[in-house]
Amino acid sequence: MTEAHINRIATAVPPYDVHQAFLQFGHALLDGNERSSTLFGRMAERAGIDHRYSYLDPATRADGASTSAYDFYRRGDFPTTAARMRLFEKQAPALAEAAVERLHLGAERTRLTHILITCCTGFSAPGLDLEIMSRCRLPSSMERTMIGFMGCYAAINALKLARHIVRSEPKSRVLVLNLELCSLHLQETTNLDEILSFLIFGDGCAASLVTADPTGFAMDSFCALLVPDTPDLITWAIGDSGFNMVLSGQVPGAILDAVREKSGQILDGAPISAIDLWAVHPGGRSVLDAVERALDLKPSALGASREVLKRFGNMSSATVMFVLEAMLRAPKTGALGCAMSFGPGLIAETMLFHAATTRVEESARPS
Amino acid sequence: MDVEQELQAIVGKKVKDHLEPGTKLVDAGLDSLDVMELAFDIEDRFKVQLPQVGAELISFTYGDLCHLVEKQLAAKTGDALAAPSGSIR
Repeated sequence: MTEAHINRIATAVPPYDVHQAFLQFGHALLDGNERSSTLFGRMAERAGIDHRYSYLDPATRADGASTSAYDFYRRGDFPTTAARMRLFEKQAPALAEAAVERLHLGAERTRLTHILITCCTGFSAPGLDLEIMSRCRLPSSMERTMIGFMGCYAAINALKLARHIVRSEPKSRVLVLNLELCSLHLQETTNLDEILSFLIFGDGCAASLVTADPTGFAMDSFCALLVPDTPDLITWAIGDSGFNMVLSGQVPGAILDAVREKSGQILDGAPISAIDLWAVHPGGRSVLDAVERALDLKPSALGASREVLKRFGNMSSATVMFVLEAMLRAPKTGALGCAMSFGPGLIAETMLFHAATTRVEESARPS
Repeated sequence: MDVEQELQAIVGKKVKDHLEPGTKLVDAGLDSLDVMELAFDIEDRFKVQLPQVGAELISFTYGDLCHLVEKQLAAKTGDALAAPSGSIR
């Protein structure tokens, strides 16, 4: 049977580092509640995040060259879902194009056969797929699939589908895009728990090439682990004023219990010590801590995940691909890896992979 | 004063009753903000960093909390045997 490989991954983030501005914004939303503001500040110090990016400009510029975060999120007049989607339609294609161009496809772009897109932060039709194909001069005959609204683990689902495609049609060359503009969905609230959930999310896009060419990471197997009785822990619903998230404080504990109990299933019977590369979705520091404890990993094991969290925050479905991108830069041939991501269900989507060979790609930088 | 006594003193600022090891913090009347404050008070007092400081602590029992603190103290000294006495688990 043909092996499917993630040959290359490239990443891009929007131009504005909004982390500090969004922290100030969070404090402002708390309306002078000293107790909540103190806790928010301490939780921010503990978040393990230094930067998050957005197309929303944290400054207000006289020339109106960019969309000011302060105009977009005006107190008492937060934007409607329609207004947010209009911004998505304007910004998302540019970010996707930046990521695809960093794949340096060259003449190879004409050989692409499929495009898979994951996104849970914006929708329109004709959508991102056609817009990207036009901007990046991709074949109009490509088979297109949108994996929508699945949340953070959608990247693993996309890789799973890409693998199925390559294994059934070995000449396939699949472009996978994971694009999220999470910063379009801040909510006007004074609830600390909700504001804390805004503390971790940022925008980003990953583009990957999946083919039968034996370079990069070979995708060996997948596992979808449904955690019983947890449907309310992570929810994501379309509201009148953006998309509304519920992110329960019980998520890390549920992940810890599930990963600890089902580690044999996740690793397909392999011992934990056999895994060299842990590409765990940095959904937040507490999520990474939970996985580390569940599997009794060394602190360095999740270093790549913690670095992505620190540099970019949680970019939903794009995030685990940023971790894999970092790992693809310096793998040792034969190294075994386990990727995992979590989202609504509660479900842990996991993938076992091994390093074939690799090519060094550019790292993400503001575009 | 051992760890348990210290913890009782910190928790006692928020809960008047003496907590049994099996009592969940939420059942003792603490909300998500209370447990966050509790966690930071514990970190400040014992000079440790707890792996959980968020709302997830609300489902912990008092015994879980004590165990967590003792574990962090032991890790801090680098010797599990050096954990202070007073375990209530």
